[in-house]
Amino acid sequence: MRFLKLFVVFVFMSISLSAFASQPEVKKAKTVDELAAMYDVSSCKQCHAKIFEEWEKSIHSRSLIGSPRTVGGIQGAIKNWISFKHSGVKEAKDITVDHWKTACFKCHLPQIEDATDEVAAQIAEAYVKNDRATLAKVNINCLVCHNKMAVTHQWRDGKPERDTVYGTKDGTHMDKMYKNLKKSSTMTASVMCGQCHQGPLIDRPATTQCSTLFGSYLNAYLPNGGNKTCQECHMKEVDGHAMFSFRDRNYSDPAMVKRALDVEVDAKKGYKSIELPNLPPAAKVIVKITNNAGHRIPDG
Amino acid sequence: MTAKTKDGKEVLKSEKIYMLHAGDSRNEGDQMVYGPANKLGFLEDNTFQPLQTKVESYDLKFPEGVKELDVNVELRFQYDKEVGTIGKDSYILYKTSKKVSTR
Repeated sequence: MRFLKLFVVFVFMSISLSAFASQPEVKKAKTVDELAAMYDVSSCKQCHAKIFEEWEKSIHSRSLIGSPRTVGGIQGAIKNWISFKHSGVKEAKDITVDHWKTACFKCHLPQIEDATDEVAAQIAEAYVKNDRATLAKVNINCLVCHNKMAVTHQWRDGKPERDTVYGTKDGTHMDKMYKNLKKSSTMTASVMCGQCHQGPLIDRPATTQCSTLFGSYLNAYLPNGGNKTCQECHMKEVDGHAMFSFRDRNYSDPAMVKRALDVEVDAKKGYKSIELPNLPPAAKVIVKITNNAGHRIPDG
Repeated sequence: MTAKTKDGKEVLKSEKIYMLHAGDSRNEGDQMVYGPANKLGFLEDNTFQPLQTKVESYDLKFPEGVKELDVNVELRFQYDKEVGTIGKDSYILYKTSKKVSTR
C-alpha cells in the first residue's frame, strides 16, 4: 500500500512536471560552434533571400560586436565583474551562463541559455582577446525573433515550439526542421521589440541600464499622441517582411534620418540698434529640431 | 554651429551635446558614468523627445566693417566625444549653410 502511494505520488509529479515543461530538454551546446549550429539560419536564405541579405548587413547579425561602443561596453562589464567582490568572477573564464543572462546577453544573445558554462567562458575570453571572429559566430538571427523570443505571454500561450516558425499567420513552413508556421499574437506589437530594446534591469544583481528605448516609447511617444508601433516605422512590406532598419544602423540611413528628424534653420537679417548706435550690428539664428520618431533621439 | 566672416575669421562657435547623462544611482551622487555596465539613473536627459520640437537660438554680433557672415549648422550623431571618421564613428544627420547680412 505504501509502495502504491509512493507510485501514485511519483506518477502525479511526473505528469505535473511534463505539463510544465511541454517539450523535452534540448542538449546544451558545449562550444560556440555548436551554439551557432543550433541556431543555424542558412536554410532561411533559400526562400527569404532579400530579407536575409538585409539582415546580414544589419547590426542584429553581429549582436556581440554591435556598434562601435558595444565591444568596449561588454569588455567594461567583464572588468567590472572581475573587480566586484561578490560576482564570483575572478577572471574571464569564471563567467557563466547566469552571469551573461543577468545582463548583456539578455538581449545580445538570449540563446546563451541553450549553452553550457563552457560556452559562456569561451565568449568571455573572446571579448578579453578582442577575438571578433569568434564573437561573429553567434547573433540575433531569424530563429531568435521568430522562434526563441516569438512568444511573450508564455503562461498563457506556452513556450515556443521547436519545429515552428512564428509569424503573422498559421500554416505550413517549407523547411525540414521548422515545419510549422504559427501566428504569434505579439509579432506585430511593439512589445515584441520591447523585449530587448527596453528599460533598466533594476532587479538584477548586476544592475544595469543598457537600452532605454521602449520606456521612451511608452512614456513619452504615446502620451504625446504617437500611435504607431515599432514595426510600422522600422519595417515595411517587402518580400513579406523586410525591416527598414535592417540595412545598417538607422543613423547611417539618410531615408530613416529624414523620416525621424525635421530641422529648420532661420537666419534673421542683421540689425543695428537705433538707441545704442555704438553696438555692433546683430543677427539671430534660430534652429528648430523636431523629433518625429517613436522614441528619444539618440536612444537604443 | 559656426558663423564666419568671408575671410574665415570665426565670429561664433557653439557646440551642444544632446544625450542621456547617466549616473549609477549609488550614493556617490551626481557623478556621470559611461557604459551600460555602470549607468542606471539619469542625471539629465536633453535628448530630442518624441514628437517635440527643440528650439536653439544664437545671437550673432557683426565685427566692425563686416556686412555678411557665413553660418553653418550641422547636426551629428556620434558614438564618442571625438568626431572620428564620418560614416564610421559619426554620421551627419543634417547640414546647411546660410549667409546672414546686415540691413
